[in-house]
Amino acid sequence: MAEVWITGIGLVTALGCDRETTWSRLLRGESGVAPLRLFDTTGYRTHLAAQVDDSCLTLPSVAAAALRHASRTSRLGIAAAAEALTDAGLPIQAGVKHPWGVVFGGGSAGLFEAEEFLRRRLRHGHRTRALNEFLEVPQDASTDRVAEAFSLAGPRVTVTTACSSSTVAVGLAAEMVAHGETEVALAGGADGLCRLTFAGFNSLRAVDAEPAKPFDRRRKGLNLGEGAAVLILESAERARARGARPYARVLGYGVTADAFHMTQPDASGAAWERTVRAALADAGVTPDQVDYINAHGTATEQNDPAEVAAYVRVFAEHLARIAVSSVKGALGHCLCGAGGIEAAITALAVARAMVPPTAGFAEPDPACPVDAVPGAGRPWPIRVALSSSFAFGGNSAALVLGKVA
Amino acid sequence: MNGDVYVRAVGVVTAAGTGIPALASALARADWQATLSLERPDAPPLPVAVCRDFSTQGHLPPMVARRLDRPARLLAVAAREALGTVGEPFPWPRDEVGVTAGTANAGTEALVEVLKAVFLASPEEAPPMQFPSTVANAPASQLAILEKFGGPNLTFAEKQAGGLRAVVEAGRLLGRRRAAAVLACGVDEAQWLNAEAYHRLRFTRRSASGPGAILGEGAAVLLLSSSPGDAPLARLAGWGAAAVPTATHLYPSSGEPLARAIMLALEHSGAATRDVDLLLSLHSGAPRLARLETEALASALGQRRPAAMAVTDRLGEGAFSSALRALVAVLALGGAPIAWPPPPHLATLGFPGLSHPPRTALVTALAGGGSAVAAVLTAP
Repeated sequence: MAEVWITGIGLVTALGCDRETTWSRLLRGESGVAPLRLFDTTGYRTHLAAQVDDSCLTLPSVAAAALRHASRTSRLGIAAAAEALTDAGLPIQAGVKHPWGVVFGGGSAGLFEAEEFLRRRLRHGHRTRALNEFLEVPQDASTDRVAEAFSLAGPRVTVTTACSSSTVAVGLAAEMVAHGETEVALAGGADGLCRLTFAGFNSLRAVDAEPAKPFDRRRKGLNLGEGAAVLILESAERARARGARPYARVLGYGVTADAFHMTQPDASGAAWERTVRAALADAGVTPDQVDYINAHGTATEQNDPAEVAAYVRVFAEHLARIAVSSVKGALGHCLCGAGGIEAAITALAVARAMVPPTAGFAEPDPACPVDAVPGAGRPWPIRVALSSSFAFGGNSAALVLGKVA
Repeated sequence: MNGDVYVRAVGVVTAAGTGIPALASALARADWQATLSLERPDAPPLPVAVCRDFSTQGHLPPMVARRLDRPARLLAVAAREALGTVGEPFPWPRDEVGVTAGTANAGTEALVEVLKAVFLASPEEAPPMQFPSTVANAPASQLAILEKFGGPNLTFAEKQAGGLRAVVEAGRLLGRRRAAAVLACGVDEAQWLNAEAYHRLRFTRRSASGPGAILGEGAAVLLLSSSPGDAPLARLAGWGAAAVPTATHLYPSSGEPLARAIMLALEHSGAATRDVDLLLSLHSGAPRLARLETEALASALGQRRPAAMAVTDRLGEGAFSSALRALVAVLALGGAPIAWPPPPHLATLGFPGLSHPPRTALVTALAGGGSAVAAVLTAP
């Protein structure tokens, strides 16, 4: 089984159209959460979200044909993939099919555009025009779009496990590379804001009308976000041979279900604990080797203590010296794209020995006894890091990344 | 593949009825056809193979059924049939039982209902109880909650190939020892907006008897484990997947990715083309798909002409249908009498109908967007 390296990262978030802008603003403790401009929020509990600037969606380096009728989510994915491929030094040659796989977490896909179609369809009947707005409804549409944009002919998988989708996707992609199913995989995911998720999370009263405060005793809920991340995964042998620079190694992943409730986590964190233990076992590392946890940290009342309860049990006395931060205070909860974005942030943290802060966190909650990295990022040597996600349906997943020796 | 993967049990709900006996009965009748009709709110019905008589009565307690949306009900009933045949005590710790599901449209009905409230009433009217059902992983998650299965719970979206993807990913989970057993599932609901979109794209039949594909609904469940148990039904011997860049709503321009997936599956399973004695055709009635399959088989199987049969052109297309093909292959490997003939495009090429129990079955799927999956199942 081959060692798997992350050799390229592309990021598009509310903090920036690219990896370095996102990373530097994240370290400064800035937040991309602001009044939502994408659609009218009259009547909702919150008017805030972490929206990507529209300028990030104009992609001069990508052929116009590949973007024709592309949804907002697909454009996010294509932008992140373009940056990741360039970063990895894998140029895309026109007219050449590349045998690389795409493993993405899929969620809202083209739903934002389809909502417009549906609105008209509900009012005007079955002859409603502009069916093209409906074509990217399948959750794998953005995966297809990325493959089409860059002529990728390797295996293509779309995981759709809600908020853990792209965490699983990175783990699965690493497994496929490790076992030689594909020499290179573009792994991650994209998710765009839309009315469905905005209305849904509002109706569940899971949102905060103010900027979210993960792990903070004042937390009241999450802010939704959007974005995309693509990680280029390849074997260490292949990367070395072509002189590629690694960010981190993918050591393993774990995935379980809590079989408890569709929207609420088991407060004991028991299933989350099983996930983390499974991930560490898969990676072949022990709790004392972990230096950083990029937490799910949604800032909902139920999520944060359940998550921390799992860490307390798994890491015991070691937790006191582990930095635990959530980027959702800065980037919003990007749902099916969140895990990929957080994996990318975690890989950057490992490579640069810096941990990002938890934007919004200021007042510790006794129910969440972790070093949540308030304020700004801090230098932090990392041997092993964990990136953790939890999803509707009780699905949790955790990735283990390590420093390349 | 890391270790063996066995099919221990199966369960199903289709337009042929609820349960394996109903499906087997339909398969034994050459003339069986589904009644095709799906109502729309403000337009003529569309030809869809709906599970018309489906009921949870006798399968799920009413209080449980009431909490579930239709895809979750279809899946739960099919899963209960599979689980009911493995006997007591339950052979695996429930925390080590996973679920993999492929779906093309689970969540669409809930999505329409939530957005209808937002658009036609107001955002405050968005129903919180229905929002969780809008996620595609709701049926698999509901199943895990219902049965207290704490293993990996993964849903895959790969349009028509989603169900077979779920089967092969279950094999991967077992091979990597991430689970002791996995319910590999395909599930779809008949949903008017989804059917209307396919209809307007001219993918589906314009009338009940015309050319073109039909959509369907149902759930197919294969219970897989790495231990054979006393009476395994089949063995998942290997699989392969390939893709070609294609617009997400179109089939690829050639059968090449399907051929590649078949060849990878044969290689992975250690089977030669001469070993294949049953092909579960992916024929849905769509002429373009028939052309692509013909092209792929010529490339992957050469002159080999195994027995062939199609089920998707009668029970309907969807992600569930590719899992259903794997399930029907398992029934055939077990000697179930099957009278459904090869699809016309394969019969013309000399592919015969099934006349005796096969030993090795090839199951394939090809999705819009250009992704292909193939699996080889063998008699235990």
